[in-house]
Amino acid sequence: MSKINACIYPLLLSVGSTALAQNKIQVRTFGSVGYSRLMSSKPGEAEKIINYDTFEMGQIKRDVTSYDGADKGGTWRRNTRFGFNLSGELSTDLSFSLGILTEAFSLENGPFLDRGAYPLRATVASLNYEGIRNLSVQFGHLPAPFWLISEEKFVGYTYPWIRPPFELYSIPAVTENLEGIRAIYQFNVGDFLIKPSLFGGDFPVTLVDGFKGNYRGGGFKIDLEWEWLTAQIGMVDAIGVIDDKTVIGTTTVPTSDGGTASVEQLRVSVNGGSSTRFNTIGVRATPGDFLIMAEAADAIQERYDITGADQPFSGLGSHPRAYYVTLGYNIGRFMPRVTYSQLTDEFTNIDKWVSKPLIDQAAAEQGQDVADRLQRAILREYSYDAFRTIQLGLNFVVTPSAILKVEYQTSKANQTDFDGAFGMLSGGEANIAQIAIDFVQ
Amino acid sequence: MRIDKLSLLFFWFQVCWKAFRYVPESTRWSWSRLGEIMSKLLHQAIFITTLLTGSMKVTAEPVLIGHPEINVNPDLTAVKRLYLGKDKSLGGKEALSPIDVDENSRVRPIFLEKVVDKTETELRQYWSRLVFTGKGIPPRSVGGDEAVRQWVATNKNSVGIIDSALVDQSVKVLLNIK
Repeated sequence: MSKINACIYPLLLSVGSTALAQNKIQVRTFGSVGYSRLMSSKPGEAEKIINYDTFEMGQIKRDVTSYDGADKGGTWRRNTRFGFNLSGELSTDLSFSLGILTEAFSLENGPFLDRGAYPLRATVASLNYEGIRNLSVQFGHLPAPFWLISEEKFVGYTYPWIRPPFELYSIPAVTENLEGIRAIYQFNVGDFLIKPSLFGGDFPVTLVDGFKGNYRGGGFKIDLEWEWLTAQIGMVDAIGVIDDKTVIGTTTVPTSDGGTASVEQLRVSVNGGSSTRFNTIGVRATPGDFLIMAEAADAIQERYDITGADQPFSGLGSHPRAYYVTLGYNIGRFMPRVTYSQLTDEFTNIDKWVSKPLIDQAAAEQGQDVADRLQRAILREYSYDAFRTIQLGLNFVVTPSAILKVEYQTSKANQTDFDGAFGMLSGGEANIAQIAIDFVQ
Repeated sequence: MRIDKLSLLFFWFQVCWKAFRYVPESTRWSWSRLGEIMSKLLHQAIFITTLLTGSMKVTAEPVLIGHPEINVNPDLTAVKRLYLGKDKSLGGKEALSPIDVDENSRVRPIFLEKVVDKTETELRQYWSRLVFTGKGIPPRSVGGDEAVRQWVATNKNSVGIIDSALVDQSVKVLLNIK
């Protein structure tokens, strides 16, 4: 798929330039400028709540990226995002789309546009073939079609929140993109438009602490549209994983010349024989002046094998379940809204796993210590009793192209207390305020 | 020309104020007498307003136009599906490209209400979801109603929505949108 990607971008640029010359191309831009602030939290406990959606698990990156400590304090952190999309028809059957996104989350109130902090990435680079009636086939670099808003989550203007419910949108199985193919067929049953779709390919994913993987698999989704109602149900199954390894758990040891050296103690890999499956269901309804959005997901995660030191252990898995409900009501240009979201997660096979000796008694003491801490860190990360957020917000339509959003949320995690290895959270609360303008052109 | 609500309100206020000034002093503060006067003024104001709005207001009448060689008889549902990218034809086999209604066009409000059934913001959000995910391309914009008519007249596979007053022999009316 990486070779295919290497071909698709030049291909799109060439066809794009041809379409531009023939005045067939459309250019659209979007952006978001906002500020976030941690209003209050329990000292030392809320960092993960704040940073939960910055673990690069494919979720929206809008958060407070640093934690100032203490119960109250913090300053307003700026979040900005800009993007544009080139699209056009090459013929009546073939069209293309190329989307570029850049975003930055300032740690300090520095220059508004700091070029060093705005990396570019492609959100979509695809060809769309519609030569067969009612059938659409997309090929290339596509947004991962898992959730209700996963395909447009970077736009902001298209959904009501500043900070989408991260309890659901940060489940570790979620990835940013699908490098592959998707076929969508649509047909009518009365006034209902039904669109089943199949998709497959590679799903690049970056998990916790820089651990990168690459799922390969597929899934299906069924979309239903009627008047003011949109509903979807889907299932994704990653058939296998291309192994990619990273080092977690290093320790510093003294060297003979009096200095120190970093020594790899453990290596984590993803079990290529396991599969990851998650099921989703979501609905968006706008009856009259109301807005109702609800979504739920159930995932069975990859199993993790931990090797290193003297004795490996395997069979770690997690089972996150999450849902949210959003209610809004349009009053002229205003829309007050409220959202409740919840995530629960548990380790699978935990009893079997924790009863297994981690490292032989004869192993180095430091290795034992690191392995023990890693075990506890993973246990804590994936064993949330409950992670809940209540969010209140108010949207104002400034112009048909720009929406001002203000929101305040309180998040709370109930978790079994473990050691604070690797900066992991062991329960806590955080209250976050945000304001942003989302716009399109 | 339209008479907006503010002008209407100001007109009524002027009528009532001038009428009140000519009411005899002895009867000015009699509530029943005042009620009778206001009632008469109200009826007269309504009558005058109806005359004015009826004669001065020009209502846009949108129609769906296509190339003279197109042979389809669509209904409003088919037009809605075409303009929302849910279908590539108007019920026939021939693929058609819809031309967007200009934002400054007089038929734009009726187009939003009757055809796509969305506000301006809702329509932008709808297309944003499709455009930025590569799942759809919005109708092409070519300009005002006259530009739409010229485009449709010279492109066999295009349809557009313009004011009926601008229709000529270069295009064919496919549907009257009411």
